[in-house]
Amino acid sequence: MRDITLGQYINGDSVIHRLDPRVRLILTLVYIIMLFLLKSIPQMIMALVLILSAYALVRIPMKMLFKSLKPIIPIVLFTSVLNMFFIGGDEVFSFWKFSVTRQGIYYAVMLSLRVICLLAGSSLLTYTSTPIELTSALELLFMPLAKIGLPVNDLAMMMTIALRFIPTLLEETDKIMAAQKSRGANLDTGNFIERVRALTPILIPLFVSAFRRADELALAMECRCYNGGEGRTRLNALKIKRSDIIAVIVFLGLCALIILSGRIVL
Amino acid sequence: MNDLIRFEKVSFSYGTNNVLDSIDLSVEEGEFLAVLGYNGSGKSTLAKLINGILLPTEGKVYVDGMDTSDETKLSEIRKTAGMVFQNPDNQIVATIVEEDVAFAPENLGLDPAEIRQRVDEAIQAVGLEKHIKDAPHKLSGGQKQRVAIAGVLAMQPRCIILDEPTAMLDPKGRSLVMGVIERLNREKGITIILITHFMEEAALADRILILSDGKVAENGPPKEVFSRKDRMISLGLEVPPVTDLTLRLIDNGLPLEKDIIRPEELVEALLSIKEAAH
Repeated sequence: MRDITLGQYINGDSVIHRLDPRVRLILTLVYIIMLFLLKSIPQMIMALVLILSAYALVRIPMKMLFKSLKPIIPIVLFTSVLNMFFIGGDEVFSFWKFSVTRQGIYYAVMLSLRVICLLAGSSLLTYTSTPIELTSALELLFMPLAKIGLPVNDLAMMMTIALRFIPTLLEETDKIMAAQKSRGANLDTGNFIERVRALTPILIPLFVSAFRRADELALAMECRCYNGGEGRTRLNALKIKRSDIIAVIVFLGLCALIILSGRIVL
Repeated sequence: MNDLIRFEKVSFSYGTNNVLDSIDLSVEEGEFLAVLGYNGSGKSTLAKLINGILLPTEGKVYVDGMDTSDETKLSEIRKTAGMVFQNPDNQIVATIVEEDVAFAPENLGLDPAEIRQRVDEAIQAVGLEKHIKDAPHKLSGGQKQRVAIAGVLAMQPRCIILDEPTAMLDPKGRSLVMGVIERLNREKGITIILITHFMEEAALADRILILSDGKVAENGPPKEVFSRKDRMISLGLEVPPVTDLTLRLIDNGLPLEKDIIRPEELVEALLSIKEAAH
């Protein structure tokens, strides 16, 4: 059987892994918001150092980080170059009709650093949290909205079931593909349109079986006394521990320091 | 009478299609009942009527005295009579074994400490202690079906209905699952209603109910039911392989009893014949 891992979770037992997923989620948000408040390159570098030290804490090899940064490098370069040329100010050098300004370079560097930090920060969340942890964190964080009628429990249950069935449906897709190939279906050759068309005999059985599964699962859930999220309790209820509070204080302190340092320097 | 489950003149039809026709049935607490019948005989419908997934078109079904058509009792009824289905993949909800087993107690709103205890007990009862933190999709079919049984056990039901629980399993998974079912019945006194088309599984029961055309065709102890091979064949069924073998041995002149339904019995009978010959 295939070993299907969802998301990019890296198993580990670091300080960050042991944090409550809600704390991880909120601190990531705080970090992202902070990135948009920073106004100078030294501050941005501090933010980068902060996130890199978090990576060091989790012992995630830098290779992983570069891997997740790779796809956005062209975009970053492209926008940086554009910015360099189109932001007005003190000219540094020029050629043909374009002039590169000091402000332009500054802005381009800021932007690149910001995007790198942004990606590093959000990747750290997905490296250290399983999809299920994120689901229950979101469920609890959105709980207040249940009062105004948002079906938070049901949405979380749907998410959990979706995650649970991804490997099952992947396996099923493999089986259906093998079955159709054994009857002479041609899935791997032809032009784009032909290949898309060849997917029909795979998708239809897949959908039919998914609906059948859904039907049976609903029955089985009813038999186990499920009737919506109300009144449910949890085996492993999330609890804010002392270490979570300390982490929040330390992290918020560092963020505040970075933001404030800008004021002092400028 | 200590009837846990009682059917009173129960009929059920899908549209004009009569599936069950005026069934009377009672199952005592602690009993192990096997339900047999060819495909389309109404076995699965019978199972779904017990815990109120389906409601009878006519007649009444009672679980521990509670009428299944009484909606206010539905949760209590489902807690009393748990149900395990054929395809283990389609009844596992969570991505970790222990969380799946915890699903029912979580729905019942129990205290986390109580849930923990029930989960541990249920997982122990089906012998999956080593897999408590595993992802269900990495388990074998037999293991998954035992997770499903544990998930029902965690409700602490008095009765478990199993609808062809071994149909999709390999022989090893089948015997492990059957072992668990037998143990739950003998050791924990849980009433078992096993819908199956494996005769050797039915042979383990206290009583066999055979459905044919939506009616009860036979209702009696396995030895009695299986000793009449012609009747079984006329109902579209077979006798257990070991009974078949025994009947052939009798035809070939061996002095055996006709009502042998388990391999151990035949071995014993053959050994005693051998001893007598010496």
